[in-house]
Amino acid sequence: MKRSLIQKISRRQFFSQLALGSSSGLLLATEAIAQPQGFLAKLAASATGNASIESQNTAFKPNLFLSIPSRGPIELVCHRSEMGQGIRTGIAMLLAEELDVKLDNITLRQAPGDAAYGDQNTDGSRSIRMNWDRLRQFAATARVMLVEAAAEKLQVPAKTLTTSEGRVWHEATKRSLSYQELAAAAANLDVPKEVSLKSRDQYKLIGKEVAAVDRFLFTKGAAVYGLDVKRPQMLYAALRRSPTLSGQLRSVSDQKAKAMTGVLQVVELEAMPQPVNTNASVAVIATDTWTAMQAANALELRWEAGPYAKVSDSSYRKKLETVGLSPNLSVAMKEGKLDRSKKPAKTISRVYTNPFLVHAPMEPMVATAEMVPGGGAKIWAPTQDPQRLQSAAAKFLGVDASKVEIHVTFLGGGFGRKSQPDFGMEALALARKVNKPVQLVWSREDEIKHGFYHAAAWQKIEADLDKNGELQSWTHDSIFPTVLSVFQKNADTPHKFELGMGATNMPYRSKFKQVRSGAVDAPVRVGWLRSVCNLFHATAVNCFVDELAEELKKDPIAYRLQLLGEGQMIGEQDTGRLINVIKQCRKVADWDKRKAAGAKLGFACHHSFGSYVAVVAEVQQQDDRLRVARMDVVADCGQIVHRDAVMAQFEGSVVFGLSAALYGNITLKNGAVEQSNFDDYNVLRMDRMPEVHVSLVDSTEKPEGVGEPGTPPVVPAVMSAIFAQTGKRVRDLPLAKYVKV
Amino acid sequence: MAEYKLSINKKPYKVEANEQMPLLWVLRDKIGLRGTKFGCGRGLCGACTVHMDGQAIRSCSLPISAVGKAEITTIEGLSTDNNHPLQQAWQTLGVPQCGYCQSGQLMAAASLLQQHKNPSDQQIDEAMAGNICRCGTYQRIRKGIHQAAKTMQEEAKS
Repeated sequence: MKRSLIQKISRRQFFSQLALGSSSGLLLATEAIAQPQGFLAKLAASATGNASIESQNTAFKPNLFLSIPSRGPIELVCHRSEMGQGIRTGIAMLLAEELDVKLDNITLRQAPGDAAYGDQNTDGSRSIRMNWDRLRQFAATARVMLVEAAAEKLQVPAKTLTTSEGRVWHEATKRSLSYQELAAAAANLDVPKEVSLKSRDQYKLIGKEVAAVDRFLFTKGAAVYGLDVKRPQMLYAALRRSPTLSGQLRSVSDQKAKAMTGVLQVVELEAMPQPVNTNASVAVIATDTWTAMQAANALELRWEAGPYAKVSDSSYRKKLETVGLSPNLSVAMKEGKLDRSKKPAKTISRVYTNPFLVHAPMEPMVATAEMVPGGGAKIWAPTQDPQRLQSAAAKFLGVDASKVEIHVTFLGGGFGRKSQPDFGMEALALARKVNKPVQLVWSREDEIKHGFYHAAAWQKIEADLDKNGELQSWTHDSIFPTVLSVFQKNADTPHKFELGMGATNMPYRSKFKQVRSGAVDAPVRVGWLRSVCNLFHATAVNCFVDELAEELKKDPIAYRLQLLGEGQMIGEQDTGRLINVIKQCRKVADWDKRKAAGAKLGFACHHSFGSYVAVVAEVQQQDDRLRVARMDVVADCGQIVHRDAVMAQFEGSVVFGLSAALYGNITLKNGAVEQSNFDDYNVLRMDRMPEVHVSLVDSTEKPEGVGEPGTPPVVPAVMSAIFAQTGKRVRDLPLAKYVKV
Repeated sequence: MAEYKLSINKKPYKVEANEQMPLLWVLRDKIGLRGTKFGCGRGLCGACTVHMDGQAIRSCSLPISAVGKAEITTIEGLSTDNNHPLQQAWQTLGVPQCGYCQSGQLMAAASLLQQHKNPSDQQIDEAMAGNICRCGTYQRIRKGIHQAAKTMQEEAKS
């Protein structure tokens, strides 16, 4: 006993020393290792204390992200959620590149929700940006130690050794050792204080065409999504929620539901306030999903609609406008001086509006929960933010976060919706009530009607121009319900970070610039949707500049380049890089020639999530409908890691942007969402898919965002092309309200 | 409730179910074939597409009582080893993003290729417009169908 205790302590010290010794220093390493919670803690404890594991554990596990056993495949860990952006491959590439292993020869484990991994909130297009240095250094440290272990075994200097494909080579004597053969020895070495990372020309994976690690799962229906989780004795649930925000349940009549074969129980759930944000609901627990859904539909429920009972689409639009036109807007940003002495050559003012949007990922919300002895729980969910769900669940159960296991499944699309903990918490509340594992499946109607919606917005931009078209002043008023409303009660004023998505960081030079906003309540839950406020800010700014160019009879690209002038830094935005993608896009889209030949083209550009994107859209009249025929996209995302996934993200951004531009429209009546399914909430389908060309700038700058920055410029580029085709300016979305698309 | 004898991926199954229960939920909850996905429940999105006697159908809208003696093929039965020319094209072209709709896309595309050995873009539009992909993989799906058609024609020749 005593011996194993000593061993335990020394192993644990070793474990942490390894972590602390990583080249990037203390902070970096402690972040990945500090205070393991939940079953990671158990894992760490068992790896250090359990005798049976001890005997077989000659594995080399220098940090939480990679593990090299004495036999069998090397295991890498992905701690970010896979929702189609290819991050499992991207994360594996960062590790495999510096470890020098082939992606075909590793296993990739999906991390549970645990703060020990650092940030796991898969949103903001941050997964690669935040892990670029950190994971490469973890892997490089391991590689250096494996080389040192080989040097000792082969009795040669470490500098005479090279690595490739999971082996250390001594070229001179043609000898090699596998990492597995070296694992036990490497585990006993001191961790190097500094390691050097590969130079760009040494990359074997980064920036190359690499096949996705999960490709074989996807083509045979074998990837396990939230919907595919199955637990012993699992029951199925469907919920009916208050149709309006903060509505109260008045009465329930459940005879019809309970009479159905397979229905086990009808359960009421109370609303959960911010930051969980569930409405009051009534659930049916049944032996299968379909019965639960049928019975939930058969419930006769009476709701008291609550404070938003009278909100309609037109009343809310009017409210946004009233706030926008009120004299006491708050100034979020003001730069330069407004010179009233010179009368502007032109003053132009335009208003742009957009509706609420819903995410509509192909997999509706779903989660499976079960209680475990001791008051904790396990939740399986397609979540973008496992730690947020973990802390919400721990609070709800009154236990420490270590008592809640969050298993992250594949996500059947996310787009920001699955960052929210609401659906996981509903499943947990049901599992606690019935004390059995419960899988809660949302119907498509639930998903459309109970979203965390992309904000509707009212924006006015007013500019003074001198006789050359230079901006003398630029005032952008942006009114929308803030996403903060799902975190704090009564939050009603857009935050700086929301206005910083395309409004306060507007790239064009002006002698005077200001951005203003105002307070407006949210009649629905507001959430993040792919690119968030960038979507409507990029639309207003680009459409407005397009209209200025038209007024001045200038080419919209040439006019943008005039307004940008020399490249400059605006916060973190390098407008020189923006200018570059504009010029590249003009070239690859053959803008001047096609335009001269009569093609109806529109242009837009935008900087977001660290990346720079320019888009040319072409619209054609086909019979009585307009068709978006071609989209050219040029993106500068810094260093490319998973090239094929980056291309795919920009192709997908076009589709997502087109759905929003052409069709996306969530409307309210008596406080409730009117749309219900894909027949009244249209999205782009194959028969309206344009030809898409994506070009990536070959950049040596650090990697930037990829999942979101492609979407914002798509909408205004299409609006501009529709103007080119029809001569009519549309300043409200979706376009389908105004033209036949 | 009634008892149904089904043939799925050429294997016999016996299930007891409500006669109105859609084939989708019989496959998923009763039989445990979970490759076929739920997307809308009303035949609007195509995520649940399977074959009934070789024809693409929306399993979310087909009651089990309407299946009769028909042979049902799901994504699990599309090929013996994940090697249908469409599956291979999907793998090499990196078609799937989140992958959730792809079982339905592959089944719809496979049915199309049975009817048209070398489909035109317009035929692809007609056959595939019922299958939504929110990630936006349409361009690669189109490319994948053309590539698989080519492979199948070459295989037929040799």
